[in-house]
Amino acid sequence: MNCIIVDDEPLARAEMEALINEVSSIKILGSFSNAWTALDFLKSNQVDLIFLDIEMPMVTGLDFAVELSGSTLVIFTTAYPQYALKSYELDAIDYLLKPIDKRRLDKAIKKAENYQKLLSDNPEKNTVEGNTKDFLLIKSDRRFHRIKFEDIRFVEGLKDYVVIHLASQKLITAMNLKTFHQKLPQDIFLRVSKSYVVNKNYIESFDHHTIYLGTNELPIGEVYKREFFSTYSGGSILPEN
Amino acid sequence: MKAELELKNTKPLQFMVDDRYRILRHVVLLVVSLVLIIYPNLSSEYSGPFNYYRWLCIYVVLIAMCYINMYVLVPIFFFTGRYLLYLVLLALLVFLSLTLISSLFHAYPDTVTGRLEEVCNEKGKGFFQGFFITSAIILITTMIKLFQRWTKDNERIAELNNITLRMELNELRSQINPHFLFNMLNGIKALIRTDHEKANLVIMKLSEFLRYQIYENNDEKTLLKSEITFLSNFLNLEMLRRDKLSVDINVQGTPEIFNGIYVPPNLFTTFVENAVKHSVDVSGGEPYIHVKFIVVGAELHFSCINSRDPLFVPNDQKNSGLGLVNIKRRLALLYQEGYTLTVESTENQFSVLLKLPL
Repeated sequence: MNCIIVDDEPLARAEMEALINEVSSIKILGSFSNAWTALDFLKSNQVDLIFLDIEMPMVTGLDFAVELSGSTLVIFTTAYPQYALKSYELDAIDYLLKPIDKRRLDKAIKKAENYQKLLSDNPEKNTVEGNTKDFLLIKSDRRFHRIKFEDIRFVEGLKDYVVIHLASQKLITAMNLKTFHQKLPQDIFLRVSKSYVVNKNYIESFDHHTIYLGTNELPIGEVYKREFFSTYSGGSILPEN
Repeated sequence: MKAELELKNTKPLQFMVDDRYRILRHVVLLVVSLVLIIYPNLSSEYSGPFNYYRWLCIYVVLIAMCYINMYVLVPIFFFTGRYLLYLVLLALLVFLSLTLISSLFHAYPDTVTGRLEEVCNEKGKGFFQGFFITSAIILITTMIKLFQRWTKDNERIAELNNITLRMELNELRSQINPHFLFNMLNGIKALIRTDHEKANLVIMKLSEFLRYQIYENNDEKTLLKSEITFLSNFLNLEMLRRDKLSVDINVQGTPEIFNGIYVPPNLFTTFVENAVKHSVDVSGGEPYIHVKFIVVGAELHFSCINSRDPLFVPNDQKNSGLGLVNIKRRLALLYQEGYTLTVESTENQFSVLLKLPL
């Protein structure tokens, strides 16, 4: 796996490089002080992961992320906590707050590596072949996988794919999250943000911004908040504004 | 507002309004009205116990009228704006009081012994006269109440204005930008790996910077010297965050002059922050910021000049210029017309010249 760093502050770039080298062996192809030089580099190089600062002059990291192709993963690095929700809407792998914690970075890189592996399995060839009352058929490597709805913990939209999180494994398939959601029983699966559909039965706890399922924390999108709270609590809990 | 406060400090006014003199005021009212009643009547044709009885009746009824007026009629009817009703009730009060006085005279046992005639003769003229005199006295007490109320209202309005101004000034003061702080900490974290000495220096500068923002920023005035140190720290810290930026702060004048000058804290920060924000160069030039302080006669001149890249457009166009609007408002609140601010903008350079009275 390789990466680049985009940040307008020289010291922030130095810190990022040092941290990445400390926690992982991913290759740093370059560091860039602004979005346009980074974009130039991307035209002629295959980059798997970008560590992207948000608050930069002229073109912000958020603007930049919109321009990126589906095969490049993004980890935002910023001092501003208020962009977190927006970043998840852009399908970012993670959102790291400066000063960056080493363990947190390690976790983010591992997550990125996992996704890269999923993406490298040619998810285009994985297709949903049908669904019944209790399960879903997914074709992968010329084999049909039977996936019981009750085994699906949550489904994540990532670029042009959906990642199905089961208790023991993850499956990726080429389909957008909305279409996939329609194939699931609506009374059990809830859309909670732009990137997540969750199985109600696996929710362990939640607060006004996050749903917790074991080690996974899923953000609740602003648009979906009202529906989530009214469905899940029968109207007894109202979303905070 | 100031004139009002000065007026309030004069003795007679304090006596009329201040709560400390409340009891004394009542004593003066009681004594003065007693003198007013007895003095013109000393040479009265009446004498003996009837005379004392007469004074006592007039005095008690008059005082009762004054207090009914001040504590019942004025607050309930006059201050609530029902003026006509107030006047009618006041006339009724005076009329009833005078009727009471005259019937008290009649009730005196001695009147039966020959004096009743005279009193009755006088009654028509006396009653009419008494009505106007009494009304005038009562209206004086109304005026006292009105005056007290007026001064208190004025005080309240002045205080409210003061509080609003102070709050506005506080809001216009620049606050610590948390984003700056966290980026600084991230930068220091990087320096700790590579350059311990520099990390040390940056932590000291950042501490000074924070101390100034947290403590001195709340004072009304601060030494110009510490303001300059603050700006220099700020610019030096900003230099660390940029690939290219040259900065210089030029202070012209002897240290003695600058040691004696006090300015409102953070007055120049907005200009310097703007200079930092707008001096970004996207086409490989050499960005710079020049800050200068100089004392000219009885004025302090501050200038801040920064390079501009015509190709550079800041992200937050919406908030652009808000800082300048705020600082203009703050300057107007602090100096009224006494300052001059000149802002010049060319394609490659932006400059601000601020002249303040010392």
